[in-house]
Amino acid sequence: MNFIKDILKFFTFITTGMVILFIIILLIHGDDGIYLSTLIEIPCMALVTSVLTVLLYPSEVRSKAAYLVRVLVHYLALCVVMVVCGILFGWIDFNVQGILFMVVSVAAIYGFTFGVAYLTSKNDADALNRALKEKQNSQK
Amino acid sequence: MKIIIETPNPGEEEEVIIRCQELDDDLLRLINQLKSGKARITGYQGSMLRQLLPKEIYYFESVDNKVFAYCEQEVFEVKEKLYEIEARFQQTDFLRISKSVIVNVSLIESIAPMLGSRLEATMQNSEKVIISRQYVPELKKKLGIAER
Repeated sequence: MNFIKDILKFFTFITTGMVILFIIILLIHGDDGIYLSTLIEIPCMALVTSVLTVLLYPSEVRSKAAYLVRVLVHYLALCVVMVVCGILFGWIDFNVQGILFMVVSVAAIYGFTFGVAYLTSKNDADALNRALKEKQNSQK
Repeated sequence: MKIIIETPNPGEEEEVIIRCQELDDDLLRLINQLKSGKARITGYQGSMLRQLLPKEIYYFESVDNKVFAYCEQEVFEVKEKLYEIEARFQQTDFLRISKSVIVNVSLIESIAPMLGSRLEATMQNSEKVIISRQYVPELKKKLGIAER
């Protein structure tokens, strides 16, 4: 159940991130190259990357170094999937510029997702700290 | 609620009688606390053996198929498996917070956010343990925070 919940959570974050990215591209370049099919491709890509995230993203790693290595592996895996899908969907051209664009885009979505996840965790931590304080006060 | 404390006659066993209309969650928790308060966990430290009270254990951690009980300053190996400890102390302040750690919630000092949807709990002895994102809902439930 948690597995599905996590997939849905990341799916929401990643889809939102990708939609924001596409809006930025639209604002910069106009609607050139963005079609109706993109609306289907975005959630497909988000679903694949969400599953990848739940499977690869480290949640049980204790040391910081191991955590960073796992994050790097996860990021590289996302880049590979996004570049391959990006070429298949015709989002990018198969050249250095296209691949670089996708790698930077993944970094942007990664940053957005990290930021939202951190804020959610911060809210959780604040609520838990308040509840802990209440518990500690009631035990005094 | 009326509380009556009676001293038993010499030789008589100590007992707690609860008279209530219904057994709600709070009462069940209280009963389990009474039961686990008397419970002991055998901790091994080399050739030394000690009977540990649950309230003095900050957390249990499984490392390389061995389970350790972390007290304020000392660490003891325990022979029980993590899932057995989890089942035994289910209705108490102990809660699983990752695949390898069961923490004593009443000895958590504070909780801080970490990258990757994880949380870090600082214990009252300043040790830190990581709370995996999968276990955050259970921790919220334990502390009486309703899930959104």
